[in-house]
Amino acid sequence: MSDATPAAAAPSIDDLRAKLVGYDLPGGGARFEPHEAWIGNDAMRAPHLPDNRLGPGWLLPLALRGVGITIAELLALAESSVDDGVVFGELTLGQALPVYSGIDYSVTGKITDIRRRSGATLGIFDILQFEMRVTSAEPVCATVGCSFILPRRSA
Amino acid sequence: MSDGTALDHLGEWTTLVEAGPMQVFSLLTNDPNPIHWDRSETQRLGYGDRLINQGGLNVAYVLNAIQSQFGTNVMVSSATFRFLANAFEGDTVIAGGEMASSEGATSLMTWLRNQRGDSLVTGVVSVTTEPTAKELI
Repeated sequence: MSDATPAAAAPSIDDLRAKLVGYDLPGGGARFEPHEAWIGNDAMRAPHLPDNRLGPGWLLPLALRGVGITIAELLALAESSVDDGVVFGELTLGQALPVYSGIDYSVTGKITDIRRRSGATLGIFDILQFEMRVTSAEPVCATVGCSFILPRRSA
Repeated sequence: MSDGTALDHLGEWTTLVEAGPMQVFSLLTNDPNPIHWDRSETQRLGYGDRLINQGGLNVAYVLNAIQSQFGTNVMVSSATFRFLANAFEGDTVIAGGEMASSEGATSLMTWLRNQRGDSLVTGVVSVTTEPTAKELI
């Protein structure tokens, strides 16, 4: 890994927590068209469901599409970048209602935590956690929580 | 895991990890991470010369195993997945798990492993099934 770009120098975790914990993500609308669902199902090796229904593998893409901020922008808020070797830490899903292509959904989101850890492999890293909520005209359809591991060069 | 209910295995679900689906998933999720589509980036970051599958795709494989077992009207009422290691382009990955059925809900301890048996994802999942239109009539 000697030629890899070093991870970003670590900003103060106290400053990051003060800035980010509770931060409301912009949110917005999300919709997948049926043709996107077809192509996406093939990518996920997922079955094509009747009546434009989307399987549970779609909850994360649906939430990310509507949360109003790109992954790159989200990482920038935490003073990190995909160039640092960011990886997924954890994913939570909760589904109350089926979701469909061809239907408009609303998504809200919030950064819920950022904390600093260290390990033998990554050295110093931060865990950035955020949650998203997918709703239709009816009550909440699904909640999606994510955490990203942000490698840091030094504390 | 549950109240004395039968423990059983989730049928295993297998696929080959390939570059094309990663590219599609990057577009679907607006994911700018080049480790999913640029092999020079995986090399630069010290991961070797194979692309790295998205976590969302790895989880989708586990969910496919669940759908294969419970049918296409299954819903994940709650799930927590942990990402332990990467699935690389060219890997064969196997999703499976153990389950304990009880009235109204089913709990599963799920996993995704590669061809060497390395654990890539683990997940605790509770599922319910939405009645189909036919069942509601």
